[in-house]
Parts: sequence; structure tokens; C-alpha cells
Amino acid sequence: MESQDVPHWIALLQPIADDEWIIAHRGSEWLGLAPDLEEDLAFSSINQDKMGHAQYYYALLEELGEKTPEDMVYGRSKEQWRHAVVLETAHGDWARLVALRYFYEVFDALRLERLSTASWQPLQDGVRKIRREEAYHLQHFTTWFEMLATGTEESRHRLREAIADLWPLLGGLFLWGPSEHFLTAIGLDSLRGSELQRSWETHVAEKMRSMDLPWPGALSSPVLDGRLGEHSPDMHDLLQVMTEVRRSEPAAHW
Amino acid sequence: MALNAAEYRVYEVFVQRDASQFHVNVGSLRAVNSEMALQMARETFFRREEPCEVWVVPQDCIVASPRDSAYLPVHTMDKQYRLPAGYDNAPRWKRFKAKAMTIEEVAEEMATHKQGGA
Repeated sequence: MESQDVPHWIALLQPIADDEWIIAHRGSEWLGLAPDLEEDLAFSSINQDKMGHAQYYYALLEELGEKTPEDMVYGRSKEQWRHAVVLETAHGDWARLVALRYFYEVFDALRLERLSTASWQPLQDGVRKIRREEAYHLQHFTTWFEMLATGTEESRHRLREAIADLWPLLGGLFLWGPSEHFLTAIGLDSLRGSELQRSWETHVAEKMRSMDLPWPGALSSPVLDGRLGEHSPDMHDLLQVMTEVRRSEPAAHW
Repeated sequence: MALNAAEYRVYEVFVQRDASQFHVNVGSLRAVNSEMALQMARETFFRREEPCEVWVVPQDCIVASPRDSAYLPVHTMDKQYRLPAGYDNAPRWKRFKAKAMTIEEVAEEMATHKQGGA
């Protein structure tokens, strides 16, 4: 890798690593609360997969000169995180979780598909393995999404409420920070936000049409752009909980 | 979300570990439909292995025998004579399978063994 490309790869990987970590952390907070025992097992193992993916990206970032994975997760202030704001939001009901995970898994699958052509070999190797697990995650939440959409009047109502609640925040997933020029520099133009969003809308619109769910309209730019370090008060609460044990004894070796 | 236990079915989970083996029951789980049962089976039982095939079978589709002698065999007579016994080639066979011996070496060792009268 050319040294002038290092900042480009960091700009690429940090939002992806943070997305995966934060969605996994929020997911882990459902432990013991999922609708049934089987889902509790399945969902926690999915979240563990995602933490593993984040760890892989953080390890690559460390190779590029960033902090250690531990410091990335436990040692950063709110403004230093680059995930999309929708992923940090406080919990609603299970329907909201299902909608969020379905929308995210579709987005992540499209992002990984394009990432698999990356010219940096260690990244390409990791993405190949990660995609095998992510296929299960997408399958799982597609099934849940369909079940709620076609289940009872209540499940369908809750799903529609959840979609309406999430929709204004989803645009934040497709942003890359101050500029997307770095994507051209490393040959990954296919990851441009507008490209990803077009594919995502095609896929999700088709699913929603088949489930007879109304399309809520074009995605808007979010009020807070997590890719620029802008985060909601929910992220403050999340960090307080996530780093609580670590902060109790910062010098301890885990 | 209000859950109605009656909407769930119990599925028995069977795994075939490779194409040469029978499907073996590994446990059961509850799921709302067979698609979900297959996904849950993967997450519950097969996180650390790569099975050849997985079956999920609704438990209420299984016909179980009553627990009485009309259906379950009881062996009152001595049927020892039916059982193959008295062979002690297992260690040799094991070594042969581990490629520690050729078939000729096994034959030779057996011949020597007999001559020695052990």
C-alpha cells in the first residue's frame, strides 16, 4: 500500500467498523429480552458475529496506525465515533429492532459486495469470510420482517410505526464524511453513497411492495451526521454504559 | 410483543454430519414456522460445526411407540449365540486404518500369532 493511500483506507474502514460495533452493542442489550429463548440465542450469536467483524476492521485500522481495538472502543469520546446516528438510537419495541436490522443488513450486504473488490488483500480476505456470516444475518431479519408484515394486525401496525420512526434517520447510513474523493483514490467508486442508496432503495422498495407496505418516500439527509462525529444524547448514554467497567479501573489488564 | 405459545410448534432437530451417516437427533426447539426452525437450528446447535444436512421435523409428526412390550422388543431368551464375539482384531484393524500397517503385514502378524499359539 502506498503511504499516501493510508488516510483513504482509514476513512473507508472507520465508519464501517463503528457501524458494526455500535449495532452489535445495541443488539447485545437485548440479551434475555428477545421474544423467545431460541431468538435470544440466535440474536446474541448474530451480535457476537458483528463484534467479530468490527474487531477485524479495528485490527486493520491499527495496522494503518490507528489506536488499538480496545482503545478505539473504550477510549474514544462521542465526537470521535463515525457510525450512522440511526444505529445508536435507544430501543423501542421488537418491531423497531427488526425493521432497523433488516434495513441495516440490506445496506451492509450491498456495502460488503462492493468492498469485496478492494485492492488491499487483507481487507479482501476478511470481507470474503464476513460475507458468509452476513448472509445469515440478512436471511434472519428478512424472515422476521416478512413475518411481522404478514402476521397479525398488531404486528403489521407496529412494523409500520417502526418504519415511520426510522425512515428520517436512514439517510445517514449512506454518507461517508466530509468528502467521498478517497473512494476514487482507492478504486472503490462503486461505494459512493448515491450508488449504495440507489441499490438499497431498489431492494427495499421491492420487498415493501411485495409485503404491501407503503413506500414512505425518498430518504432525507439526517439532522445529525454521525460520519462527521455528530451524535445524539442516546450515544452519550450508550458510551456511559459501554465503558462503565473499563472506566472503573482504567489501568487494569483485561 | 404479546406471544401466544400456541402459535409455536416444537421441532425435533436432526443432523447429518457427513453424507455417509444417518441423521441423528440432537435436540428440539420451538419456532413459529419451518423456515424459522431451520434458522434457529443453525444458531442453536451448529455454531461450531459445518453439518452436511439439517432436518427439522414437527414433533407432533413423529409416531412414537407406546412404552409396552407390544411394540418394544424384550429379550427374555439367551440370544448370546446370535452375537458375533470372540474376535480380537480391533487393534490391528485400527493400526491398519491409521496406515501404520499394510494388509500384508496384518496377514503376516496374524500368521505368526497363530503359530506362537497365543
